[in-house]
Amino acid sequence: MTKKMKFRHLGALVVVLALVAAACGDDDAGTTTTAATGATTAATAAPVAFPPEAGAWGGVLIEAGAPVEIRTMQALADAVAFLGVDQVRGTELAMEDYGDILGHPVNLGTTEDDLCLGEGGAAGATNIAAQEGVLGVIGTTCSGAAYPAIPILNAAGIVLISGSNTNATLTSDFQGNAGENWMDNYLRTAHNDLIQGAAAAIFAYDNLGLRAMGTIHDGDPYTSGLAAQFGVTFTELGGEIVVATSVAKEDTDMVPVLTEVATGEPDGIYFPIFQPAGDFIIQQVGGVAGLENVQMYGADGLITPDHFSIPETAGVYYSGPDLGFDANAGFTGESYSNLVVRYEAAYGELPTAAFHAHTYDATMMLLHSIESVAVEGPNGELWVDRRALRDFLYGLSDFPGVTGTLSCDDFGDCGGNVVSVILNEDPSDPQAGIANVVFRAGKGAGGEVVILPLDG
Amino acid sequence: MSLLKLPQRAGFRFSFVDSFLWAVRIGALVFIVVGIFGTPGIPGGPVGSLAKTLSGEGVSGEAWRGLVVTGLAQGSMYGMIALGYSMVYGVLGFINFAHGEVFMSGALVSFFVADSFGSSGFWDSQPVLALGLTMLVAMTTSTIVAVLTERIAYRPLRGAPRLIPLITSIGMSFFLQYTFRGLFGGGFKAFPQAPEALQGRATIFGVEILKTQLAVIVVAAVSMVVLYQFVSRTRMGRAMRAIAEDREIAALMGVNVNRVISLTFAVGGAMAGIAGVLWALLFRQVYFLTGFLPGIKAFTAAVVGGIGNMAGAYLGGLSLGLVESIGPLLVLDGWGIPAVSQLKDVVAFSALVLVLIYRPTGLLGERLAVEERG
Amino acid sequence: MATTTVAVSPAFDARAAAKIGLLGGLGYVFTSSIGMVEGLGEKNVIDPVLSLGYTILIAIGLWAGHRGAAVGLSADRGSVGGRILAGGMAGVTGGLLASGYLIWINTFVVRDVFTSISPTLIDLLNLQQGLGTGIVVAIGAGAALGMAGAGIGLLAPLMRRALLGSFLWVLIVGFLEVVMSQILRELDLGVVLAFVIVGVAAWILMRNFADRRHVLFGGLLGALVGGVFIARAFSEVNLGLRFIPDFAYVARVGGRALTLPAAAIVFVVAFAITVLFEGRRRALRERITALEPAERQRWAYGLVAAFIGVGVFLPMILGSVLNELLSTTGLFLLMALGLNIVIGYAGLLDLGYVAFFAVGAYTMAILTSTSVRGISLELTFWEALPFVILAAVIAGILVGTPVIGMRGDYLAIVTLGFGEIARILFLSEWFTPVTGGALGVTKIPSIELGFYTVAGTDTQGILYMVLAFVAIAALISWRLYDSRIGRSWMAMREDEQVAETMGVNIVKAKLLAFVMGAILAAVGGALFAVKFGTIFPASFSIIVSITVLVVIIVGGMGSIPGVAVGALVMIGVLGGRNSPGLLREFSEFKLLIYGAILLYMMLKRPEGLLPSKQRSRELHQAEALQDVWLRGEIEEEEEA
Repeated sequence: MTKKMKFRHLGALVVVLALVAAACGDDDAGTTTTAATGATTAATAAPVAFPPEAGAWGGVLIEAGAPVEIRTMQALADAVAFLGVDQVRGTELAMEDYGDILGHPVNLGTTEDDLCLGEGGAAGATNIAAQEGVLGVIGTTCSGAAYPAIPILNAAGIVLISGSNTNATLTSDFQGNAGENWMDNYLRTAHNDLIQGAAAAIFAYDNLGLRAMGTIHDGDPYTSGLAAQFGVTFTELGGEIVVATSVAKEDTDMVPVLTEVATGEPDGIYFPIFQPAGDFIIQQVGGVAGLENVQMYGADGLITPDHFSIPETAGVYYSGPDLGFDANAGFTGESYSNLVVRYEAAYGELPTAAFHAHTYDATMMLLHSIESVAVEGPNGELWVDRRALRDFLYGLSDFPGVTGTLSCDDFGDCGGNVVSVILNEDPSDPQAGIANVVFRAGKGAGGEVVILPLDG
Repeated sequence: MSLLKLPQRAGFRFSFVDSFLWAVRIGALVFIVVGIFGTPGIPGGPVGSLAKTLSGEGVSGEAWRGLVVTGLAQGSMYGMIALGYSMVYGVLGFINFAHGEVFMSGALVSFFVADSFGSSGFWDSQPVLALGLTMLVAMTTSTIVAVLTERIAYRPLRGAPRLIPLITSIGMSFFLQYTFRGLFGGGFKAFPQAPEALQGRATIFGVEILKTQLAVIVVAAVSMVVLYQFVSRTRMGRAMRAIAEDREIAALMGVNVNRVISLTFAVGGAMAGIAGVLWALLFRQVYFLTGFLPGIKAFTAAVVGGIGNMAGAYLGGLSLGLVESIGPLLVLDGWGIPAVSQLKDVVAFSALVLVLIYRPTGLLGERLAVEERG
Repeated sequence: MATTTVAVSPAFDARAAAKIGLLGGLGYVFTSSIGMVEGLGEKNVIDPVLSLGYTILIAIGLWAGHRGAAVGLSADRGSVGGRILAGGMAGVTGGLLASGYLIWINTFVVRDVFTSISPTLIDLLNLQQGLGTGIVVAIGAGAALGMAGAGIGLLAPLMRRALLGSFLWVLIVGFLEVVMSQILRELDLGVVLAFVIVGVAAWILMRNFADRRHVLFGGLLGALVGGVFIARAFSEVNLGLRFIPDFAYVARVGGRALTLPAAAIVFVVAFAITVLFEGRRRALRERITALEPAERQRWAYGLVAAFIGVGVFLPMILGSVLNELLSTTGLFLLMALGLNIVIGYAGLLDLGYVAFFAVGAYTMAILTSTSVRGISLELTFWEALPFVILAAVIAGILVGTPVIGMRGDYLAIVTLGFGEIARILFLSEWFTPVTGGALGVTKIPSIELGFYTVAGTDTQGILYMVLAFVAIAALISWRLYDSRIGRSWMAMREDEQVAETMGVNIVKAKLLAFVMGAILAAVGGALFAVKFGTIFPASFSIIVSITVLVVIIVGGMGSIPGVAVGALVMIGVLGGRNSPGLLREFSEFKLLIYGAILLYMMLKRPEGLLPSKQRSRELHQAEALQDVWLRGEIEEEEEA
């Protein structure tokens, strides 16, 4: 009996404390914001006009000689590492090219691993927001990691610029409607899924003359979104998606899924998935009855030298972000072709994906914007207003980048949104296959897909 | 806490659990039958996969044959891996979760041999010798890993409560995976294409089969026969069976328990090594996590077949392979469920549950040491 | 002189010492070959002298010396020279093995096969000089470290503990750069005052009103509320401690590191504290053991009260990074407490436990999401919570019933299958209209408390919520342990047939275990959904089940404090598969370390870090009951 009594007391205590605790949480949320501007208040004691009054998001005072702090958050492990590591390198090369900002070096700190999941994005963003004076973050690799990261960084007044998030809900639908996950500290230089899926479908329908397609995704938000958008446009054009199915990333035996697709008697299969599942599909498709003459059509997850050297990939098309950057030059005038040479020299391999170029531009945009809004103090200090930085980034237009000219719209879509389709003709020369562009398309003024000439 | 007050009346146990199980048994049967044959006469009901095939809409006859062959090839490999699980379970009575990694180690290490053969041309000029050597390397590696695992991690735990070696083996599984990743890198290793002699198709009994699949099925069957002969004919094999029957009595009869247990691991490892090369031949890509899912599936296969039972492991593997490859299209597609292929593992694990509900000791019944049966 | 003594000493077992040395050498080869030395070589613990990679090699050397001395001279503990020599011998043996390895990797290009043996690694091992230096260093450092390790073994226990403990503190402070900086930067007067006031109040109350529980708890509650108000009132007065991190840490590639003077200070302070307070510590321990049971009980309550007090104020101090980390740890702890009921109490090995977590997360997400995609009922957290629990009960019964008749290991594979089935169904096209499929569910709203809104990004608020639910879960587990059903579970775990004969309703007991476990996991899942505001099927893979299992195994199965310690160590410090822990530097080797810890724990300490008394008794009893003849045979073979 007495034991029960004690138990009741403890229970009541816990409940009350939980309430109390939450109440003081309330208060503390208020203090956190003041703490963010705390640096400002402390700094106002310095000389008269410097630093200027902070905007709504607070500001950062950088002492003479102290570094300008930016960070990266990318997927570094396992299956998506080839996307994330590629982008970290893009940022590093851009920092090298840009050099100091008004006499202050730029410090990248430790790269956070976004794990390609919400959990990683949240932890990474929390970690970055806890470090003092970080002005901007380049990342994330995966859209899924960006969802929780954006509000955390938003609360800290930090901008996030991604070179590879493509999910449409992060920005807008190009019709003036904000995506439901958009926040005003987010920008990207990658293309929007709406464009790639649609452009890929136009190529399949108009150029390849396919009328009945099967689609296969692998349960990844990226690939399933792409396959879905492909289906929408392809159906609008008058084609039919006969089977829309998916595999698991760990699957090796693809005969069942291909047999399922074969039941729809398609002329082509669009499989915007990753390695190794994509490798297995291409290797096993020849052995499935009814699919002997089907046109295979992959996407950027498979545009790698490894995949292109598989003998069965001869004659297969791949859609992806445009890679025809060779003629372009970045903000500092560095040409893309030279950038690739330096990439190989520095990291011992050719770029593993296209996104290093997008992050290169994203980093340039960030560094240039910091320099543009920074106010110099009398003793070599630097004052950067966070809101002004964000506004400057959103106002960028005709910014020269290695991926083309970048102009940010009202929802942070800055990329040229150019996608291309390539054809692998000779698996013994994968690099030539990757460079063999047969179709290019971009975003028109009204958000529609426009076909671009191959050489521009 | 009203939850705690489930009805207490006598006979509750039978009424609740048994009626639930009967509902599952009947429901599953109806689900499968309707999925295959549909509900003729009821407009708007499921069409059934068979009806679809007959009307020319669904999977064609030729495609069904293709699925069967693929299922058998996949199942053969499951069966070979399952043997390792089954034999260890029969002798020691615990799930050796690290056995999937034993399989992976053989496949991964033999890659380096196959790769050098492939680039030197030896692979195509002497296909039998090259494959044989590759297999030898894989078997050796897998055997060493299996025996070392037993020596280091499991032997000191003999006699400990069941859960402990099981968890040890989960730890071993992680340890091996990431050791191999650290040593050989995390990327996919692309095996050379099968030797020219094994490319293309062969026609057997009027059915066209990929030669690699045929090779997988044949090699697996031959290995099984050889192993069966070994266990039933040789002295060591008899000792093995004796220990599986009753460890203590066997020891009293003069069987060297430790040596036989090592041998069990070695044999299981060797079979897994062969399976590893077959896997690489068929799918041409291996990496440090290659063993994880096949390992789980193989254990499932061992349970389906009846654990501790060698023929059961092989049969369980074949059945699971077939169920996985045919099941989604045969049953689920008939119901009009979209994208059935991604439900492959759902079908496989449901099959496991159903088999255990219908036959709690697996298809061929389990053979376990006395102390485990209790 | 010493040499001759040793040489003639019959107790000196050179082979045993050399064997340990070889093990150490293998450790060197292993950590180098899997890329650990290089991967951690960039992270400096103390700038610029000590990288994490070298720390590991040094630790291996010290261990070899220490063990080598202990094994080589077990019977001759008195001889100082002998022990040091034995340690040195182990070190040299290891060094020789390491040199062989160095010669191999310097002579041949092995990187095509062994990807981690890179030129950078070779340079690191050669100390940026040639192979010659590498060999000299490997053998020389091996000998020196071996002797040092043996020397440490000779120190008085207190000194040894102080030395190692202080070094550990240096490592910890070096690692926690981000966290320490944030705490010191943001520390305000309010929290410190509150801590002092509540502490003093608690002390006075415990001293004077220990027998009058109403006064005691009332007073404590009052003090806590007062403390909270004080914390609020003075929360804007920063203590201005930012100069400490500014002094202690220096920015470097691969993160900031501790400066040498700061490291020295930490070491000296930690050392001094350990040595100076040794007497106090011992006295305290003696006093605790001397306490009468009733008194001890009272102190136990005091401890609980202290935990609650700390729980209330800690989130205000820790800063967002630690709060985030602790919330994740708390979510795993919730799951672990649930799994502890299923496995630890009832002995049902459930490897698909993540299914219940997923059910909770998805139920909460689908019922509350405000996204335009999919169905949106837009309930609030509190309205959805009963449905989460209901869904968990149904899931528990659905999974539990078919497996009631199954034996332990069948249970494992079948539940593992159920876990995968759940994940795949949530992902599948078939369920996409409801679950969002691969695109998951987004826009899961905050928790409304009436007077406050806990947003998912509000690390502090989420931590309070998680702590509250963990406290409830811990209470439930604790009450269940001694309850009638708890005893039935334990009887069933020991022997199902006997338990049944004794009148335990096995069906009811098993189903209840599954359902209770499912509810705790589902509530964890619901909080998970709110915390991240978005969920994807990828978060519910098999690995989560295994991680939770590891947590309770490492902590101590069946013991609530044990499970909490397990969650702190494995999730908080090391990090789960999908959540970075405190030691982010190790993230690449996280699962390797998981595996190693599991192996070590099972072989050396199967009852866990903080076991329940009953469980460890069982384990040791089992050991004692092992077949004597079988053991004899193993030993026989080893000797041969």
